[in-house]
Amino acid sequence: MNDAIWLIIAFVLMLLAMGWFALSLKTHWKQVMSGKPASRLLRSLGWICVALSGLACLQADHASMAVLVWIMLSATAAFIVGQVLSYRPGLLKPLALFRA
Amino acid sequence: MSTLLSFTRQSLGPVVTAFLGGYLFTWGFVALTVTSTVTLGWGFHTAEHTAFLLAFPVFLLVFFWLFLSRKTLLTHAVAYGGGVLMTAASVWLQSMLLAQGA
Amino acid sequence: MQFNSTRQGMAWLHTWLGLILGFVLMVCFFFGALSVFDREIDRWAIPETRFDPQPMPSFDNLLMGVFERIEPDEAEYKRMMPEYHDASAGEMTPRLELPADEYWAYTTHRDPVLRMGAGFRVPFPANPEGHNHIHGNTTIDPRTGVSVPDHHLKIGSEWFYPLHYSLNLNWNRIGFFIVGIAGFFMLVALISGVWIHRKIFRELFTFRRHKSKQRSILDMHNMTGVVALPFHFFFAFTGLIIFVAFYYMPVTNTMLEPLHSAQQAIEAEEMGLPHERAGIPAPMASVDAMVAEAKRRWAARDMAGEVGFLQMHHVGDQNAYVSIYRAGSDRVALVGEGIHFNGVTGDVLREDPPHSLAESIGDFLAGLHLQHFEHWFLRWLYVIGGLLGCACIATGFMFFVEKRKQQHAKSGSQGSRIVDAFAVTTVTGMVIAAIAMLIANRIIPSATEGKGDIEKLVFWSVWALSFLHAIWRSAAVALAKTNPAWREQTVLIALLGVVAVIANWISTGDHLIKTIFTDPYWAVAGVDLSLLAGSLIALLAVKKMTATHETERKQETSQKKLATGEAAYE
Repeated sequence: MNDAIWLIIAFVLMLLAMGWFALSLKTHWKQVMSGKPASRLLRSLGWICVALSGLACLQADHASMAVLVWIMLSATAAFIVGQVLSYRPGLLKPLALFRA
Repeated sequence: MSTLLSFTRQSLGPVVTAFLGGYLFTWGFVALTVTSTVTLGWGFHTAEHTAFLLAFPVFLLVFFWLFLSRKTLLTHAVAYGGGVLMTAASVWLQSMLLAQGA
Repeated sequence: MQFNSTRQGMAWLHTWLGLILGFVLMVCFFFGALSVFDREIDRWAIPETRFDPQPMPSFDNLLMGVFERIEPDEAEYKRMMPEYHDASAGEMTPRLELPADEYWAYTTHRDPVLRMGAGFRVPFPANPEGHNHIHGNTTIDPRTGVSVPDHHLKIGSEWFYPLHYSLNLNWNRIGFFIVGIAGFFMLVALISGVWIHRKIFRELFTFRRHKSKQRSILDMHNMTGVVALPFHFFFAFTGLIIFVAFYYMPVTNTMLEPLHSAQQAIEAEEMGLPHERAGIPAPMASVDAMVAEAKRRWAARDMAGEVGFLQMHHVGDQNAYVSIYRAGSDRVALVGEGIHFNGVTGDVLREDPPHSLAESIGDFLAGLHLQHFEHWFLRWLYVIGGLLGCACIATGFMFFVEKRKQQHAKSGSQGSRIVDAFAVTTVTGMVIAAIAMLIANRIIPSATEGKGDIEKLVFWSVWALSFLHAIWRSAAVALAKTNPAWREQTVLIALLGVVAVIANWISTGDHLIKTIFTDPYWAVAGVDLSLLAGSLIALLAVKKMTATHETERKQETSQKKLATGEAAYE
């Protein structure tokens, strides 16, 4: 059960990471907010979440398994964020924190 | 129909020769990697695994090189010739190893 | 070939090889995705085996008795016995009197049933150096030791699974080679795709579904390709690696075979496990005690686990030994951590040493593809990866057609029309064939002679019918419109998914309320839910296609009006 919680945390972190990566791009920021994004800051936040997500994966599984879960989570999360931006971009508004 | 024919000759032809050249070169590469590393004292299965791990990167590189190069004749000669040479070398190394009782 | 630039050459490779081999790759990705749950599909298709997975049962109390009941296979005896046997040395032993030499049992954390087999010795062999085994297999219910009928086709592990690497075309292994070539060009297509795409990161999240059909299809193609790029790359690559030494590039099994055997003989000697029988009969020690010792040693290495594979060599002889391997569970590589015991004394003979670096990398790569591990969440992520691959290839076909159909309509070329019909067959037709096979499996009574063959026939004929349907309806594409077969076959998927779930309910009584809530059995519930999810996705796609169809029609009428208006003006 503990493992399941760590995996959920890893997934959420990866979604956050992909959300910030997307918002660091001007075209996607404009879908959510006016102005320009603080790209570098948002991208750094994204990378921190990617790293933390990896650590959460390591908490749940043996290292060799954790790597696979981590990579597959990144693919799934990126696809979900892409679809959200196409259908419900408003959902990403809470992540649009830092304007340039 | 004529477009299909010219498509086959002009475009699929180079793909096939690049594929076969890449395959032959990789065959020689794998064979020579196995025999030479076994000569150096590696275990057979370690040698085999190493060679096959490198096989597809090598195959891809040679394929792209042959397909995209402008000096078609030269590159094909190098790949086909190299493949044959490496294969021959590995067969020779194998006979040496077996003669030594390895 | 002469291209003006590398980029142009890459674009050519991506377009044409992607198109030609995409049809094969679609089969690999879709049935590969289904193979992630092959054992669960087996349970769905063979209701007699719907019970929970069991650990390896007691060898001494249960398995030994089953092993002694196994008979050499009749067909194999007929085929191989004359080849193995030296008629000048002595008389041919009748089938049921062949002495057993080897026993094995194999299970995984997902298998309720246990597969077992025996290898029988051939007295008076023509080649005493050879392996000379006639085999016999059985599948049992490990709770009771009773044989489970083994003649049912395991649709998951014996049809969908081999389909994804051999296309089930077994003539001269032609299917393996087609898939191998397709796998290589998958790597070529990925590399050339990345090369020509350029805006990998900037357009990673971009899906402009309101823009033109061609634009939105290309966005989807890029997105599904790029987000799962490591998955696509590593599954094509590891799939090739798994078969390379045996089929695709058998250097060490053909040209270097002499060196290979010589080295193997040295390694076998170093292992210290008896290669031959001593010829002196001896009673066997308790195998359960060996299993307990093996588990203790695994636990001491911090990798406690169950037995996955157990093999007894030289049965009933003084040189007998027992090899015990760990089942896949918490690691990617299935190494087995084999421990070998003297079969007569029960002492440990040897523990397999850790693998070298190159071997470990190979173990990891093969393991990540073969998925012996225990991790339901990762399995589902793999299914998503596989389906993203399917979406990428399917949108690739659609983009090819969208880009050319206007021009082809003007020039009268049938190219895009034919490609589109093939695309319909490999995208929707393949799904229809798979679901139709499952429905046939639930409708045909279990006792029917040759049930599995009928199911295979249903699979191929439904697929062929979907192709004929796509061709029949394809005229629209030659006029730069959409083939109505896309929509019609998608409607059929939506219907068939529901029919399959109902057929399962009626034929077995296992409906979703039972398999989820009152008497949970996730293998069957999962297949049912996936079928319903497929239906739902198909319905959404139908809705979208209907909307596109409407716009196409409106555009057409306004164009016509414009044309008549212009004509009137002139």
